[in-house]
Amino acid sequence: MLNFALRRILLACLLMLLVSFVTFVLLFSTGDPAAAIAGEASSAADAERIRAHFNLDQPLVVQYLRWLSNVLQGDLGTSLYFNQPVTKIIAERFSVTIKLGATALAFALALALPLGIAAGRWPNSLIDRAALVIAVIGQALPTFWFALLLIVLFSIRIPILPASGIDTWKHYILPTIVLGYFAAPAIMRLTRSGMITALETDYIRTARAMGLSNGKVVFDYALRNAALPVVSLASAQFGFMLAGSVVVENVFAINGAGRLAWESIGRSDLPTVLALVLCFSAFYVILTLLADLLNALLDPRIRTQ
Amino acid sequence: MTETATAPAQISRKTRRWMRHTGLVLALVLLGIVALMALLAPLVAPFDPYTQDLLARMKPPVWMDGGSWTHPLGTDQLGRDYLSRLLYGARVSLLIGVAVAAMGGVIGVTLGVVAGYFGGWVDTVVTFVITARLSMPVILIALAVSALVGTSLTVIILTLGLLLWDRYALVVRATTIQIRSTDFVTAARLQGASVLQILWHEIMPNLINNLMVVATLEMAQAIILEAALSFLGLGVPPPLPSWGLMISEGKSFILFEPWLITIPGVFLFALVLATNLLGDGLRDVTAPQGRN
Repeated sequence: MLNFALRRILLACLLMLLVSFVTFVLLFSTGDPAAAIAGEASSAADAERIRAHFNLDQPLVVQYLRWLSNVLQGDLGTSLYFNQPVTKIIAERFSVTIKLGATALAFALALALPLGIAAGRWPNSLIDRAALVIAVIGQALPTFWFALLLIVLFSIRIPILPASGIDTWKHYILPTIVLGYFAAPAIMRLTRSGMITALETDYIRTARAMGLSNGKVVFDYALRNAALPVVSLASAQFGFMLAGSVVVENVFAINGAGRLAWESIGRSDLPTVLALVLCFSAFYVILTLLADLLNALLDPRIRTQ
Repeated sequence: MTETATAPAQISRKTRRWMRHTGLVLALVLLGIVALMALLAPLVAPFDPYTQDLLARMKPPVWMDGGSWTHPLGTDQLGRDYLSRLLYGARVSLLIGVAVAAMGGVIGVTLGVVAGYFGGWVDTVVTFVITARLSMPVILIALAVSALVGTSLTVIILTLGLLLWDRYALVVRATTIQIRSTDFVTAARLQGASVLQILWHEIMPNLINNLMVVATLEMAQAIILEAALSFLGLGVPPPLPSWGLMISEGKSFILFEPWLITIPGVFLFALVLATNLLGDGLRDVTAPQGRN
């Protein structure tokens, strides 16, 4: 197990290295940060001076290595817009986004698991069909449009919920529904197919033959085996949802990391954009790593592969 | 899974299986409507989608109070005919969907086939690259690239095409690993077929079914991402008529004119729904054993 864990952690680190390099090159080779810092009313000479000052005149690889060594010491650079350490700015914003992501995941699971289990328990039944319709609609709803529709319905037509900000628990409801419904269909479908596969196995037939109650068979035996891949998927979905917050936070005017990313892109604040992209990636990598480790802990077959 | 010899009886059975599948029929009908909209846009659009008429701003659609048949779906905040913009918007969505799905397909299939066929360290490297791609937030990268390079239809297609190949690669890799060890591939190898011949004549034809399914899913994803990017102001540049952009332009008026976002949104939703259903349906029809 230790061996497996170490290998997976090393892989995650390599993954972050590759992602950071690709993102760095992508941002710093397509954009001109010097011109962005200098502003519109600047001369070419100004931009040149800034380039020298921030070491932007050096080869990309050198710039990347310099940046990387700073990151490893906990310094993500200085925001060109706020003129403050990026670490400080994004920490606060991420707490909002993670809170929203967590409520959304809870909503997604609350919607997807019961429906997925029921659909897998009674395939082709009415509830299975209803679950399929709910999943298919959720997969096709553009989040930003769904968010606007909910605002029209619950903030304008029947004004019971706030349309923007994130001050009270009421502010969480609409964004949670939007993000959660976006993540639910995949979890629902995987739960359903996992249940169907598990219920067809020999050990379930044996358990039934031994006279175990239906509830015990479904929840104790089948669900436990169907749950492993669902845990992996749910953690990956959590990562995707955090990135999806870019859109939702914009519609609901929530000052989270996603909105900050969009604003920083508009301001050409490349150090902040870079840090945000990496944090979103890091979340995904860490979440999938944890899910892998959990799976390996619960299922010895994965460890020995 | 692979129907090499299709007798007439089988064809009719296959057609019947297609027609019995509700989702598939719905998908084909909806996709047909959107495709017709895109094809016939210049013929049926009542107005030029770019012509502004500031005297006729935000006219409501015909079924609402104050609507008229001159502008059946009303006009936007610049007085442009909404129906005409909607019709031309279908072109943008379909073009982006098809182009991105094709581009991602070339990249993903190449990577997947190479990884699956050769295995070993090649597979390790490709799998690593796929995982790296999966951990990058697509929408943020696309937003940043659009902002840095400048927004245009070409930039959107290239950016999304370079990003959306992960599912192709995963599916093709897994399928190739299965096919690699079949007897007909071994037979071809023993006959002295070159690697390229095997990949092209033995492996590729057996990937087609799965590829079609993935292509529809990626197409849906591309359409929804373009709309989201345009909504955030970094997708298709105005005044091009994109459904995402129309929703973005209408969102300031949702208080009194919610139809400005409802109409393009319904079409966007229907197109993505149809594309997803086509994928689900294709999977059901082409791979009966994987129906659950």
